[in-house]
Amino acid sequence: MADINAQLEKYTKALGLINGMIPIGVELGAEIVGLIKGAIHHGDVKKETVEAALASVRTFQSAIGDVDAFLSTWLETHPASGPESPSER
Amino acid sequence: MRLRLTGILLTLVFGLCVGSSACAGNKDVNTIVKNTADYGTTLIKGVGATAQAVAAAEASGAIPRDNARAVMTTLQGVTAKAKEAASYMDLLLKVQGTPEAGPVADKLVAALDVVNSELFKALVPIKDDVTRTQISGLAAEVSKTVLIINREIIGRIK
Repeated sequence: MADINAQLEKYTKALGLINGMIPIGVELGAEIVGLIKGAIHHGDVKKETVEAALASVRTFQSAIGDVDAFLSTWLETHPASGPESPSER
Repeated sequence: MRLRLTGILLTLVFGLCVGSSACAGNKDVNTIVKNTADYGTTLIKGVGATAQAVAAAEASGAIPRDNARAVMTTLQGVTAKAKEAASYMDLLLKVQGTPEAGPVADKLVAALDVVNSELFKALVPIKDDVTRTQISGLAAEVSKTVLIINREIIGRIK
């Protein structure tokens, strides 16, 4: 009986130790994962994703340029039917 | 001692499992900007299609010249705001991970909101029902794209 109690006490202490360390483990785990992701983030993977993002922004800017050019040309070639401003009237 | 080490190891493994799911929400600004710019390209092509529909309607006499000009002028305002949004996307790539990223993301969202509202304002001078229906269909598609962009940005970068 004394042996069983001693064992129980030992296992209870171990469980208490594990239980107490879980929050520390979670925080440490998150920090390690963050560090790993940060390390990847600063490697070749980041360079490729930045370049892909820049390429998409350039495509967007080019598409804007095309539409802007169409609008400007149309407005120049299709003047108003009458004076547009009070000063012109 | 062995028990203590086992305890530490177990909690570390458990912590890594929980921690990795906690870190799953880590935001990749590059991917977000890329997706936003891709949607932006779809948006501006919609604006272009709207402009061409207005030009065709004016050419056919469905809408008066001055009304068409009013729409085109408003659409010029839309492209100017889209240009501004594109410059914020460019800037966001440069300042990502710094305190400036949040304010730049705010400006990007604000610029896209203006694009959305200006597009519907462009419809006002169009009195012809057929043209209006056609253009409002295009405008709705553009509006949907702006909403998708805003949803991608909000809560991701900020």
